[in-house]
Amino acid sequence: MTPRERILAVFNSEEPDKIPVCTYEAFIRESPNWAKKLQKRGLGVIRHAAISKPSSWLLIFWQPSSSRMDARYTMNNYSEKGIRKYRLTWETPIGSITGVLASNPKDYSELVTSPAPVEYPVKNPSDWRVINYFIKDMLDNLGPNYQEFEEAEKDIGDNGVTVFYNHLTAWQSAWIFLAGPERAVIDFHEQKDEIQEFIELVKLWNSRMAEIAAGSPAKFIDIAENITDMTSPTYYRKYCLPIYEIYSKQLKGTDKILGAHMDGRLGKLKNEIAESPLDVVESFSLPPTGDISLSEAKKIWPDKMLFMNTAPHMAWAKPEEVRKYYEDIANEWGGKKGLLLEFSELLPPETVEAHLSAAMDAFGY
Amino acid sequence: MVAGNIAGTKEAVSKALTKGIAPLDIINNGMVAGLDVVGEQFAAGEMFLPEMMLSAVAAREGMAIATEGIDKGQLKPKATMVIGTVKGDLHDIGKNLVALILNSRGFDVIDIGVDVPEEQFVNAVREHKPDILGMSCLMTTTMVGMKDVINALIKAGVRDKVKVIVGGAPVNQEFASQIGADYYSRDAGSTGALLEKVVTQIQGTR
Repeated sequence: MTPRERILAVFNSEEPDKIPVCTYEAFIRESPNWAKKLQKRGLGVIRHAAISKPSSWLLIFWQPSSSRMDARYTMNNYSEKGIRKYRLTWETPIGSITGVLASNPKDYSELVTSPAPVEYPVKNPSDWRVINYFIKDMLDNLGPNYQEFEEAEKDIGDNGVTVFYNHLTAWQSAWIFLAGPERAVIDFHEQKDEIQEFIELVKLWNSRMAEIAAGSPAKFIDIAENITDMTSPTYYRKYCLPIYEIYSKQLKGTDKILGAHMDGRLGKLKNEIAESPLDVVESFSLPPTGDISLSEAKKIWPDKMLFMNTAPHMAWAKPEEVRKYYEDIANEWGGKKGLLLEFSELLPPETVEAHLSAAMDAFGY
Repeated sequence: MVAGNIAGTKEAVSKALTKGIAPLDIINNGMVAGLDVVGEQFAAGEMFLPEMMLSAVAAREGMAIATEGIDKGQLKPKATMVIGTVKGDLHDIGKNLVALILNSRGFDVIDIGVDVPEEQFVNAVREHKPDILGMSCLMTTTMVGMKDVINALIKAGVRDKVKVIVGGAPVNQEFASQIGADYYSRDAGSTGALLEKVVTQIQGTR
């Protein structure tokens, strides 16, 4: 099988010849050499592409180069103590907000840069009004655009698949990217008008995106949730599950699968995830990063596929130990259906090739 | 406060003060007792991180009102902790959560920020003489920096002056033991209860 056939077999609930071993394409974009050898052996590539224009309100909020809106922004790039930062200010008729993103100095710059907020744009409850204006402005222009996705699929060919990687639901985007944990937890608890409107707008955005996704060429709709300890069962039920339901209803009758990127500890959410309409737990992390073993996941989520993250705690292990680790995983899973190994969270760059190579050895490549 | 009602907590503290209840009674018999309930509920899996965080914010706000008019000398912190995210890592969510939760439990938390080089940890230990030093990281590339900090503490002759606790997504007990940390905490929520025990042990040995 080609890497593409292997991945699609898993997507289609069929048995591949080998458990797919993949990498996010973003990690090989800037420094592809390490992956070339492994691609010859069958390493699959998972590319993310948009299916709409604008692609994502959250992405464009922080990376506004391609925006086409009434809101105006200014961006100031600078360096502070050797750290690259950029300050972004959005100005709207109802007010302005400012946030700062910074790139981690050791954040695998040779693989990918993943800047994180060091100053959140929402500092007061009233700042949500500006975010809401921004989303409304983008909603007015939202429509399907499959060109980028189709081109990505054509380009990737037999090397892998293209996935629609959708942005986060309201609570996840609030505490991770917009307001930070403390502001978000207070605002979501107090439920003032601004936050209720924000939640409704995110829901509306997702309703439209679900329609667009249903008609798109994307086989796998993946919501980039980053679920971890900051999402309690109550929050998950209130803010995540209703959005997944929207997608699930729209995707019914298509051959598409729905997943969410959940790379944290999911033990407290295992019942909620079991009840969810998700087909895939994406970036599933085994202990000690996560807190659910493969055997338990198989038992509690018998109808779900696991796209499992490479194990960060094995990053510094010897190749033979890594190989043994993945051999044990293959044995624990007991088959090839419904499991995919992906380099979806970051390993130290100098360890990636040996790590994935050992995993491929273990899975019979 | 346990339910995370910030306005309600502030109001209750103000009312108690108006009724003449001593601030230290409000803190020790009201808020600290409430935080114990929060800790128990979290440990029992009945409360989760966002809800715990909200209780901690309510406690912090209530505490600010309760302590407004009293001599700060009466408010001896349970312990002093220096906390920071190690060199090369800008992630601060876990660190901030730990600081918030410990603050609400009466610890004096000195937050030295993110991307902190080892010499800055050493200087902070020398300057503040904390009981506990906490280190956080989110990345496999930066977790090795924790060992560098411990080595720098040894080299500076201050390792035995402070208990070291580490945490963060890629860190586990095995790694903590390997690098010579005293404690490992798997999440911000359980750090409070763990360090309460540590402080009791430290004070028992003095």
